[in-house]
Amino acid sequence: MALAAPLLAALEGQDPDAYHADAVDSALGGVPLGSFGGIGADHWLGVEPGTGRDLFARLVYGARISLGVGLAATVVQVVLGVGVGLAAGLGNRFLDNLLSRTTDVMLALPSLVFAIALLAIVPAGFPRPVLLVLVLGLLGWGGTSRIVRAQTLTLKSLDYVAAARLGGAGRWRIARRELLPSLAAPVATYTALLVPSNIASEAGLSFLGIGVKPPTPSWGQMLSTATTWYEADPAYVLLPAGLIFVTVFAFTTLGDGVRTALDPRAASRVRGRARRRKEARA
Amino acid sequence: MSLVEVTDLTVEFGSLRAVDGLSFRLERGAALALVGESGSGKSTVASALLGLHHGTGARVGGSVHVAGTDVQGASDEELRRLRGGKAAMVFQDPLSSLDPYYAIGDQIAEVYRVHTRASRRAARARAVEVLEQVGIPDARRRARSRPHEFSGGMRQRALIAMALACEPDLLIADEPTTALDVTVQAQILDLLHTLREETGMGLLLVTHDVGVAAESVDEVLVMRHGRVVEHGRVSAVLGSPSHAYTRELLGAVPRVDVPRTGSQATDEVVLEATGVRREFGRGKRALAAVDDVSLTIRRGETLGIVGESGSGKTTLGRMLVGLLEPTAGAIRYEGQAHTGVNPAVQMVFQDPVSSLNPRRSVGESIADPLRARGERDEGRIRRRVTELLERVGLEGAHYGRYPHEFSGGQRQRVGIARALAADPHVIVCDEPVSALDVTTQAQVVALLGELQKELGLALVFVAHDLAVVRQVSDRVAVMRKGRVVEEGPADEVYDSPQDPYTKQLLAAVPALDPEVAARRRAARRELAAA
Amino acid sequence: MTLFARFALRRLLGALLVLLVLSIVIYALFYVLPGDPARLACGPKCTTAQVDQVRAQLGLGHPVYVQYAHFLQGLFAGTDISTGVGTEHCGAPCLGFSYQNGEQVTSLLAQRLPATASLALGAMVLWLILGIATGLLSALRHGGLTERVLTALTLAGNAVPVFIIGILLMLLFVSVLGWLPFPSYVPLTDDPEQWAWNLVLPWLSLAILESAKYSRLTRSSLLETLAEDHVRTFRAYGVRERSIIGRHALRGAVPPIIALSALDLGTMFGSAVLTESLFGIPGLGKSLVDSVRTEDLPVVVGLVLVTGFFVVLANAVADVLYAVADRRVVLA
Repeated sequence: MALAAPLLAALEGQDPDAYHADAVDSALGGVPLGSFGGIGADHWLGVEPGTGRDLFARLVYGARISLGVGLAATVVQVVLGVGVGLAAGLGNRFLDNLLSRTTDVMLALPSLVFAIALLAIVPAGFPRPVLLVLVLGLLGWGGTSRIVRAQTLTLKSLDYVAAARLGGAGRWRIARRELLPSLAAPVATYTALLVPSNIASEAGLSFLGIGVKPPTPSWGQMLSTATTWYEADPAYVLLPAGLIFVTVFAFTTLGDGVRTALDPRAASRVRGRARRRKEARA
Repeated sequence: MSLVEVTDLTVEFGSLRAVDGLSFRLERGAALALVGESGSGKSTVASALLGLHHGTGARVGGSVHVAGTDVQGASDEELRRLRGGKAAMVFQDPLSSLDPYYAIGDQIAEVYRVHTRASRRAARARAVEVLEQVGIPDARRRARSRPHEFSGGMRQRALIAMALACEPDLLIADEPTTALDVTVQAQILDLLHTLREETGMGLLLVTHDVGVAAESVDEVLVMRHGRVVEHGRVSAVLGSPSHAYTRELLGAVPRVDVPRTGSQATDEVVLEATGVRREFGRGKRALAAVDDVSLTIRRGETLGIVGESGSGKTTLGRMLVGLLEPTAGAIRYEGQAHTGVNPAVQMVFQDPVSSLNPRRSVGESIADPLRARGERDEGRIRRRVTELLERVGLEGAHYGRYPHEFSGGQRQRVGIARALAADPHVIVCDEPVSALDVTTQAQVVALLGELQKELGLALVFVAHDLAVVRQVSDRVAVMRKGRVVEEGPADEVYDSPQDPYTKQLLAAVPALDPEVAARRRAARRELAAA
Repeated sequence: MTLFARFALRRLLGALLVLLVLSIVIYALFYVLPGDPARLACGPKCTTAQVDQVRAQLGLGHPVYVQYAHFLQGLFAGTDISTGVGTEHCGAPCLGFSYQNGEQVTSLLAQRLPATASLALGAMVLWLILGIATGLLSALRHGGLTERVLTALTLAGNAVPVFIIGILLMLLFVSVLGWLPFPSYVPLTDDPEQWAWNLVLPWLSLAILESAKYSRLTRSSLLETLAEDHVRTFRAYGVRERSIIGRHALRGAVPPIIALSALDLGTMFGSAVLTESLFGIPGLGKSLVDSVRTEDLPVVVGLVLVTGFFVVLANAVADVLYAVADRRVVLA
């Protein structure tokens, strides 16, 4: 949906930034004309109070920012986290101590507060979505790194890794053949849960007016504008709020599903439940 | 009426029939052992005696009467009165069988109060009393300790104390000594014996170890696939078994008094450790796991290294193959000092589960040393792996299978094939058979013997089981607290031990003959009294 | 000294070290990297003369480590600062001077503390009750419909941002039902009843979000403990199921719940930005957003430091409390 934003908006025939003064009631302070926030054939989901910008178009363009920032920040976090975690797990005592303490400090940072403060001192000219990706990404890799390091240390102590060493395999061969495949599952699980949390963070920052700045639409930024209208035009509040809710919930459910599917214990529980159910029927 | 009457008991978990038409009786004050290998259903029977399968989804058929309670037809209330009150159970792993958050005395008191109307104070006093009875020194103070503050043997004593709290008629012991060292095992078995004499309670012992059974009971019942194979007096069943499976089982049990046959030891030293030491931790907390050990290993011979947990034998094994660097001292291979791993010195690991990568086919794992050596010809790799698989008694077609498709014994064979792939001259086997059933154990030991003869291998056999070590070794080193306390030809060490610790170890080994067992018990008692 | 005391001391010293590193990072980020920190600190409305004065106050002419040492000295011993109109003493912990507000940052933040504390403590009581109760229920009804419904609810609660929950609650209780006033903070000392009444919505929003975590934690540790061997032991000794759950299974859930509570409480001090902004609670979090908007750098930096302090302290306290509840970790 996010990729197809221009297409979808074109389909409706509305521009996300075009003002429609005719669609709002200026006498009432700019409340949209018509029921449910001005929903009609022209404006599928109504218009923004005050300006009359088309909500459907803004929401689909907003999706690009919201989802794009969420996913890109996740990529940054995972790449950094896996890199640092592997280096700490495989490196010597000094490197491990250095990287682990750094990770501890990263995890101890109040990341939301830090993100807000950082966004405040960066010059206004810097593109906000990119900045958001960097800030979220650079602040949020600690968890992945800690998981990867712990998993690497566990795997390293397993007999089959010792056996591979005895067989003459080098450091890289062991990392590639014996460690990485077993790391994939926990990393995938954790990643799947990072995505919704990043989407939520972007929404939160933009909601506070610190993330994406108008006129660029993002769901959090729209919600922020909407709360000032929430008595007069509740539909405007419900749309972005509902979208954030549904998206984050959907990604979390997906992440939870990934965890269940990849956790051998959980998987055997599911199989056991299915077996018991089958037996109960028989 | 007998203390226990089991008639035609069946227990099914889904489509699996764990116990299949089992019947037996146990009279008051008598002792019976259920003996069998893993999967024989022996522990399932023990649980059925207390009705522990109620509400778990297992289907139980037949009838079970314990101390006058019809377990099958009993109400929840009657079952609760039976459990711990009339019949008490001692589990295998004493650490996980106690609640880590409460003091041991409080846990015993809690159980006591479930079955009596005793006050808290009286229950605490009773807890101290039973802890004293099982031989815990300074019981009043120790009753306030939590389980992790006890040693393994002490914890098992505490569990037995809990069982004794309500003076039950029957004690059910499910592998009570399996997690313990052999000297501690002997103490616990002696304790059970003494308690039976003192209290007159009946004992149902569940064990995989024929020796443990011979030490402790009057009657044995050999189980296999959920059925009775043979049932009778210990001396009769173990002395002149009538069933083929019993004979096979007994034949597979290694004997501590039977020396190795068919040795091809030479005088040519291949691997040598001189004054090796290994510390873990740094500074003040550094602990030497291995301390000033010197050993030689000669072509064609087997050196047994035997010791209890914490003796440093595994650390020593890992230094011999180069997985761990010694803190001091050196490892020499064919006279040359050697650090790091060496293809000519390979290892077979204890745990057949964790020693194979679950995500790679066994063929790929075995091919690793070939590829590491630079072999690129896939056809040649495949042929060599197939040959190795067949050599260890598997099929070449198993190349593409994954570890979970194999049994424990088969996985251990894969581990041996992988070690052979590097064309080694020495193989260090770290507890290679301790995770296996006794019949499988015998097969793997036999395979190692054949390979040694065929390839002229030197073997280092690290194990806690004195009998297995005797069975395979030409020479033996006994380790304790990181040091070798005695070393020499296996026959000399076993038949005329010099070091007091070696003597103690050998005295603790369970005997298969009940009369010998009784004599040894008496000897241990005298030793303890002196 | 006991093992435990040594463990606690080591943990707290570790926290101190992290705080020191944190202060260096913060100082570098906000006072060294920007081109003209004096202008940033003074705010957009300052004249050039005022900026020069701030520059002198910050010691920007000196080498970086001297500046930092001065900054540290203020934190631990207090210092004298020029306010633009004169000089006043700024007692430890001195976080600097807000030129826009004409007040010391420390006292500005101290005024904000009661509102944040009101929000955090009240919400915590609520989320603990809600979380543990639903977790317990869900574990006891394991495999049933109740568990599945609760699992879905906690998943939703865990995922959805607090401001969404807050807005929806506000729409429902204020606009549609009209049961609650539009929240506006009333200090506890002024009117306890109004204080509580106005905080119901923020408490509830935070509690719904946070309780999901506690519900999952309670459920999973209960189920884990119930599957353990020692529970089997007590069943085999005729102990009632009620005592097994009450005495043995719940006991295993206590250490992680206590640790997580300490952690979350620490995070609430400063990081409840969204809740405080949404409901207009004049706490630390709201103050952060306000000072970012007005570009009041000294307050922003002070807030980041204070928030970091609470989070790091909470981390250490959580570890120590965990060890109190489960002595085995001291040995590990």
